[in-house]
Amino acid sequence: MFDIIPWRKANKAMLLEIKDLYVQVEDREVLKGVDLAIDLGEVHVLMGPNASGKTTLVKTITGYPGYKVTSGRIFFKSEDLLLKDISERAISGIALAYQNPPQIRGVKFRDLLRIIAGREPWNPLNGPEETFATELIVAAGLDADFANRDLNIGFSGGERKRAELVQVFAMRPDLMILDEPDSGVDIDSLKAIGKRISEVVSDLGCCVLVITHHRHILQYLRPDVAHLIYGGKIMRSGNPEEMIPRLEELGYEGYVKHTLGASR
Amino acid sequence: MTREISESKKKFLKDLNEWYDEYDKKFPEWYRKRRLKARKVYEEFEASGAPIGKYGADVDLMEFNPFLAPPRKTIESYEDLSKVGKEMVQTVGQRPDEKERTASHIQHDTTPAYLKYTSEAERLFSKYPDGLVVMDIDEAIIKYSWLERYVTRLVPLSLDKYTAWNSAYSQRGIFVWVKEGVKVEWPLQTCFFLEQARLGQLVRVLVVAEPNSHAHVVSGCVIQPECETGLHGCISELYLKEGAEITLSYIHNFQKKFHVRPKVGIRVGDEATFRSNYIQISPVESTQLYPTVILQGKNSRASLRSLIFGLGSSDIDAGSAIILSGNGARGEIISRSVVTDKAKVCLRGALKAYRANTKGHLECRALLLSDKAKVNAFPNLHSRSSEAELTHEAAVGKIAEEELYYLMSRGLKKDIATSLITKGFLDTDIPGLPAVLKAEIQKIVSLTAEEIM
Repeated sequence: MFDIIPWRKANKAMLLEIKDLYVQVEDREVLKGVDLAIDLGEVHVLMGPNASGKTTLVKTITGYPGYKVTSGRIFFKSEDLLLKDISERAISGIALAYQNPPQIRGVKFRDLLRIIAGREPWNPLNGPEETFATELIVAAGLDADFANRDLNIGFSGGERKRAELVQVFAMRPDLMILDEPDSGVDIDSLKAIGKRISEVVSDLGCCVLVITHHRHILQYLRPDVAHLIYGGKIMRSGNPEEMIPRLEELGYEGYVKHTLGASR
Repeated sequence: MTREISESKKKFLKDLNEWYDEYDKKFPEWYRKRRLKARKVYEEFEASGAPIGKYGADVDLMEFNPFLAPPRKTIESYEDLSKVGKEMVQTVGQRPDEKERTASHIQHDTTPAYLKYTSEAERLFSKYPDGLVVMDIDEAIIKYSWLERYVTRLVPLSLDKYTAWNSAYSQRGIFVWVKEGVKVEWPLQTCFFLEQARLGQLVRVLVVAEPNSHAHVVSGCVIQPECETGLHGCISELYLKEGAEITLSYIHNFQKKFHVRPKVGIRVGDEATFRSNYIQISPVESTQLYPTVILQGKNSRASLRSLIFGLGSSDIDAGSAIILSGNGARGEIISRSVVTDKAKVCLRGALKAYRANTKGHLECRALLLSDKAKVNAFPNLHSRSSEAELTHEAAVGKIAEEELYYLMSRGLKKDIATSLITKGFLDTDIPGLPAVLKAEIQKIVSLTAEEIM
């Protein structure tokens, strides 16, 4: 893999390093030997058909119970990530924007953002208006009144994606994992979302692992590496500019058959 | 089945009756007669072996002596209340600074210790002279003979063993009378403070809201922290005449060895609105309540909310009922309960519709935070009309893991995430309350939610 990232040096520790990872979900083996390494400042895109293990991979990195690592290692900032629980991983710098976030009744969007940023939940007795969370929300292109709404309740598909990004940005992570930030989003919003992500990424100087089926969002993210996951394995990692047009032309199945089948 | 009342109980009843014969001398004849009848009804229930009430844990009422407490010191100002006392009353919605309150009342065991209109009330009285009466109920019964038509008329003394007992042996309580057209902006705060161990603090509350009057009542029941065991009993009757609007917020903070038995009846007249918030924030040995609202008037409204923390080994049986008998009556019952440790909570709710164009909704949700906690929900809809619209939702469950992990993946520790979800679960909008009261109630709820984590 080092050949595709010329500036990487051999033996240098990566920000995130996944080695030969096997994961079971409900006694079924979903990941079957995944290797992946992301270094500081890099943007990676992970592509693959449904049920190929994309979400399993990100939930495993995030530390979800129920995703059982049967073998392999994950290192983040040279620490063994598998020893940490889900909130410890978030604190150490990993943030996930969910594809389908849950709705949580009674939990105000503003309060979660404030807690993420180490502040107290908003108390209306303390002041006339909440500003901290509201500014973050408005910056992501949502109306200010989202601050007072219950988390994800009554949010449209596009609003949920933006709400996810607001939270991930507020976490100021070192690694941002975006699970299909573009699904169900119209073209205009896509542009706005894409621009906003790239702004924040360059502000924070963080790494990105983005899952997507479409190249549009990648115009804004400009990935350094593309990975194709198929049947629970990374089948190929390479230059996105070469891989993605071929993937779009052949489809996941076709790409695997024609490109990789030949080299096997 | 009849059984012989034991000799020791007979002796206790004899002493009790002698004591109350003396106490009751001050009362008008009609009230004395009802008290005597209540004694008789109680003895019949006792002899028949009847439990304390239809629902809830059974308790031997004679374990808690209603005249045990010595007279307590009265105070001139809230400032004179002890530091601990001030801290405790604040946990049940009372404001010692008396800001944004119209009147304050404290009953200490069986002594009416404090009763005062605040400076806010002066503004009210300049607009409506004698527009509001807040006084000790025993004194009110002596002063106003017309109370004969109200007292014991909504919560019958013969309803069960408990109502007979409380009717026969109550001491003190509070009477609120809001005159016609009087709008009381700031809440009235009343507090029942219990200090004497093994006391049965039996009180009576009567609210009469004359036509088109408005008021908020915050009633807190709390104990001196050293007080280990006791019984707090209360019979509350609220009458809302045409166009009246009353909200009653009642907050209970006791201890694990306390029995709590509030009995509440409300009659709502034409175009009148009743709202209540019941909040129980401490462990108890047992609590049973089943406030019943009769929406008798045309277009009458009722909204009943309760937030119950089932903590420790509490045995709580809490419900509400609304009887929709007026034309166009609308009612809702919303209850939330967080149950943890080994607590047992029984949630009841009943809507009974007797008219075609009535509407009612019942929602009851419980969150279980421990494997040993138990919840039973009994939502009940009775309709005597095919065109009445009655709906209900009930949900009992644990915190959804999906929600917990989601918040944890934002860097929240598990206990913080659990507390946030729990507080969110308890966050129900309370319509019709002044903002200040809403914020105060939310604070009490969120402090309790944090404490139990």
